[in-house]
Amino acid sequence: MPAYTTETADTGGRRQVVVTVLFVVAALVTTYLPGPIQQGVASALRGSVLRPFVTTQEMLLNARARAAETDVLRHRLDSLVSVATAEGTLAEENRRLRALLDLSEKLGPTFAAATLVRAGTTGSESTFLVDVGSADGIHPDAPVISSQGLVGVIRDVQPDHSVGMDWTHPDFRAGAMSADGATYGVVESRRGRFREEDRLVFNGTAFHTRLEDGTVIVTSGLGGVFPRGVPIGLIDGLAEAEGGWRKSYWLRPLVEPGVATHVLVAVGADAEGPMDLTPVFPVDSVMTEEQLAARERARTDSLRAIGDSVVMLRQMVAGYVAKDSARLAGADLARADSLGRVAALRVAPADSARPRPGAAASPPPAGGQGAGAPRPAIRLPVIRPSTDAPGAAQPAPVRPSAPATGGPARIRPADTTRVLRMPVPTDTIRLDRPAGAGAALPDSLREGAGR
Amino acid sequence: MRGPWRVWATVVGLVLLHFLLHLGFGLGNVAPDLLTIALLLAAREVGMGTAAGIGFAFGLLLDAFSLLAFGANAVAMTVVGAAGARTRDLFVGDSFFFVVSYLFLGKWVKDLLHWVLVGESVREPFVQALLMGSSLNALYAAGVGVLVVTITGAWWESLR
Repeated sequence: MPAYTTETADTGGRRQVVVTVLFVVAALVTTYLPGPIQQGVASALRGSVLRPFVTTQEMLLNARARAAETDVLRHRLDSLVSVATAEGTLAEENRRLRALLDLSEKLGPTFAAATLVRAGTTGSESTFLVDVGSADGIHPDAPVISSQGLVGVIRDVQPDHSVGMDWTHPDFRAGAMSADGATYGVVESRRGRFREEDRLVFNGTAFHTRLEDGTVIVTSGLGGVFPRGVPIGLIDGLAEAEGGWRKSYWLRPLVEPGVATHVLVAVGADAEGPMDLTPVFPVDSVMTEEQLAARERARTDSLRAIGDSVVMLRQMVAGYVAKDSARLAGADLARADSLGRVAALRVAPADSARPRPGAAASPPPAGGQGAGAPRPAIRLPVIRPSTDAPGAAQPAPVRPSAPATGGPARIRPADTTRVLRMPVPTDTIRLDRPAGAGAALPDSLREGAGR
Repeated sequence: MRGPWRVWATVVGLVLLHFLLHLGFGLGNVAPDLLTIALLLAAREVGMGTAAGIGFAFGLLLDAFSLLAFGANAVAMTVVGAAGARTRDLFVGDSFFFVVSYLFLGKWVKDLLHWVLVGESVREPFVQALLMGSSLNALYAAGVGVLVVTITGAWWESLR
């Protein structure tokens, strides 16, 4: 322990005091230095000794800013992805509406724009609702068209809405002709095995005429229902040729009723007569087979992508199922182990009640039953030993679940299912089943035999 | 300088940690005043003049970011360093209470001197700045200082 003193070799000297005073004076002088000199000193310190720490803070701030920017950019990317995802639908709707708008301008006031909806209920297949009615000048049998061609026809008109049927309806008929006017016939719907196989047939054409695939079929205006010149579909092969007097051709429809959401419905009275819309739908404006094929390819690609997603989801689910099964298997093993322990605990008291070997005071009674043991109220199955081995000792018959063992009597519950079952003899069962009998004993009997 | 290497390693580590926390990480008052702790530890190892010089250097480093009261930290740290070295000639103690008191008073006196020297226009009210703010900061610094010297053994090393 050093002595308490104010005079040590290091601090007690006058030199230390002088140095201290000098530093204190220097510190006081720094407070009264001119501003530029103070800032020069401070700047020199910041740029030399303290520079690494300033750089560290700058790096941290930049990293923090980048992290914040990353979050912002991620949120912005998510938003853009969602917008881009929805943009496809919007672009498609926009394209349809623009096409319909162009068509509406060409048609003038003779057609009313309408929104087409489907009830989607049973029995409403091939029918649709439009939000224009008699108040808008709609009348029954008014044609419904889209920018691509004929959609259907109005059947029932209410003041504010109308009900129509599209070309997939079995009652749909339309007088039609080839675009060049050389071949006339009737277009009708032909049901397939399921709705997706519904097709259009150009029926009743003259036998001597021949239509090449891809020929545009338009409404003929005959019959007074549909205006002339509305595209219906493209020839897609010969359907049938009957009796040497008529031919029918398959049509590839230009309009898909399922995706038609905005349509035009003709307004005006029947007295005005059918219109000629051939200038509105020139042949070069009709979708070609290539365009239809491209549409089909796009649809196939979409379905394939959805299918891939489904397969991936299915694989994920299968992985989860495997993991869950393994977990349940582990739980089953644990449960079986617990049940085995419980069964062992139940057997233990019964063993203690049996006479021990060498205990002469209480010889085992004949038949394995105590003399005073009450007979069970129900007849329990008795498992007898084999009699095929004459030299073998004859053990006493074993009664499973006998009351003498202390365990509860095993009672088969009443069968309320009324299922036809094969009769199983339960009163006498041989333990030594013949060789080759692969069937195992029932669980209850096997457990009783073990006792 | 006659202190063992452990004390000086602790002092250097505290100085670096102080500027890393306050300046590098920008923690501000959340981090304790490790520079004063380092000065007080170093002052127990050197003479009064050397301690004053160390305090002067530390104060200048602090004043490098002081625009309105340049030199206030230099004066305060110089005086505290000299006073810390002087206390070794007056008190010799290795008890927990002495360490805490030494660090607490050293930090509080440093704040007091700084508060006096910064001028009327800059300083905050006495009660708020010293009785509350500085007391809490001194207690915080003393606690951390005790923890540091306990871990490093720097204090008890200096008594040998």
